[in-house]
Amino acid sequence: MSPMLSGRWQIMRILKATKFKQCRDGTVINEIHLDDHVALPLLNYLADFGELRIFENMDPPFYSFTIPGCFTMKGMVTEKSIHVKFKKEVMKQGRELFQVILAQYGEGSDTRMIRAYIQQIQEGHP
Amino acid sequence: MNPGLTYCNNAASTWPKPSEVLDAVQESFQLPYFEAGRSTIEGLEDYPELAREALADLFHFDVPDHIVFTQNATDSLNMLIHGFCAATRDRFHVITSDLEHNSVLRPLTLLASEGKITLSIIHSDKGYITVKGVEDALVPETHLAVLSHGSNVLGTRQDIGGIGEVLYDHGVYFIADGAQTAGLVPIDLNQTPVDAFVFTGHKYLFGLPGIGGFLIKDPSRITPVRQGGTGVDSGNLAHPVDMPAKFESGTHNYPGIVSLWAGSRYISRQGVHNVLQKCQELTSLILHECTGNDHITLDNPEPDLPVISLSLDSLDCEDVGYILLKKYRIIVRTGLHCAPLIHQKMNGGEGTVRISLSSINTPEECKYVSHAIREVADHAHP
Ligand SMILES: Cc1ncc(COP(=O)(O)O)c(C=O)c1O
Repeated sequence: MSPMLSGRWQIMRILKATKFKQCRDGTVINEIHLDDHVALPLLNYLADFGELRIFENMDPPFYSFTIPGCFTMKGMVTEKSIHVKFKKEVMKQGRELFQVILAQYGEGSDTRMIRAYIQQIQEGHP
Repeated sequence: MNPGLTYCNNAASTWPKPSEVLDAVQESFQLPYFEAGRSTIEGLEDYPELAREALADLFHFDVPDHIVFTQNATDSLNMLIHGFCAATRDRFHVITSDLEHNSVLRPLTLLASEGKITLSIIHSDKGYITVKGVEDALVPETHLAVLSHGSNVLGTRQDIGGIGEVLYDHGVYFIADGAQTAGLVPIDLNQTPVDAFVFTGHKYLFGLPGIGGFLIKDPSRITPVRQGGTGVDSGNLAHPVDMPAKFESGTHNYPGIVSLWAGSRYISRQGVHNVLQKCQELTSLILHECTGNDHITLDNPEPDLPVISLSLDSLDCEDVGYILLKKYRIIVRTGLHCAPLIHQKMNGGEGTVRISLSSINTPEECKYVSHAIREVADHAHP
């Protein structure tokens, strides 16, 4: 593994994922523990791929980030644990995308590849 | 141990439990349980009998043997609804309401889809079912009504006495779902025309999860849907018809029953009127602080029970629940609270944030919760 890649993994690694809630429509909310807290640079990076709502008046700020048709993630800035909601129909792809996005966080992330993957999921043929 | 939580999800399950409940359960483990008819042990406490007497006392009910233990309110409702249906030969009409929990709606929907019943769902008005509404829904084939005593969403309390009178006059069997009121609201079953009253242990009776039951006036109207060992009349292959064995087969949940016994005595000693009054005072503290805030919508500004459903204008209910937990360590419930029809009516099925208190909550906790809700409401603007 290249030093840069291993460095990225150190920045944001999933330590543990547990099922927090299963909704009526099959949607699953996972509680995910990351090895570092979620900070603004990460959220700005995410904003490139979807819709970010950040409530900066709150202390600490609350955010929710959605890539339509793929997943929704929410949490408090400065917290290491987040909730991620995956729809039943794209559970596997949504989880994969989520992991790829985190793993690619850092310099030189392949945003084109990520966008293409998002589009595939949204169009229903990943 | 103080985990630093402010617990406001008592309509789901009360927490913490009074220490005397925990102590009684702990103590009951010291010796084998006395299992009537199933053990040679003697001289120990007969917990099911003690619990039946304590519950009979609490609910002003003369026949302790007509108190049946089940797993929870859902189990009780299923036994009663399916048992009534099994005892009734022809297809009949049932009345229920849009306030009901899925433990009522789902068994009835199943029976309707199987063609065994026809179903009328009465529409509530501001969380209340009226006697007139019930009267209007009656048809000659109506044999059963299943209605809640207290709403777990809006915190309204129904006039089961008035409703019961009309149903009694028309010969309709009335099952009242007291999951949200047992232990919280004074109930005099000797005076209330209800045929079966359902309770659950883990809510306002301060028992453990996994114990519940019902009180039944005329058990002959319900066929037991389960048969098995009862510890009595073992040589007979037909299931006993005597109460309470008719509806209690298999080994009891003894720790749960002990918790119910201790919880009922805890409430009786305080006086259920006082418990309700304290809960109402606590609820008013929060309501008072949240009323008039433009960002907060209260679904029922004047609940009878300690249940407050609300929503904020800029966040969905799940997000509010998340923030309350993460920032303030406040536990609430969010979503539909297993009562889908009333949510459809209130806000198109969006769900709410539900704050529900017990008499163990304190005024300080209520002030903290109000402060938190207001702070989130006032700052939640992206
Ligand atoms: C009105 C009502 N009925 C029935 C139930 C089901 O209770 P249990 O979980 O004990 O089966 C609940 C639980 O929330 C309730 O609020």
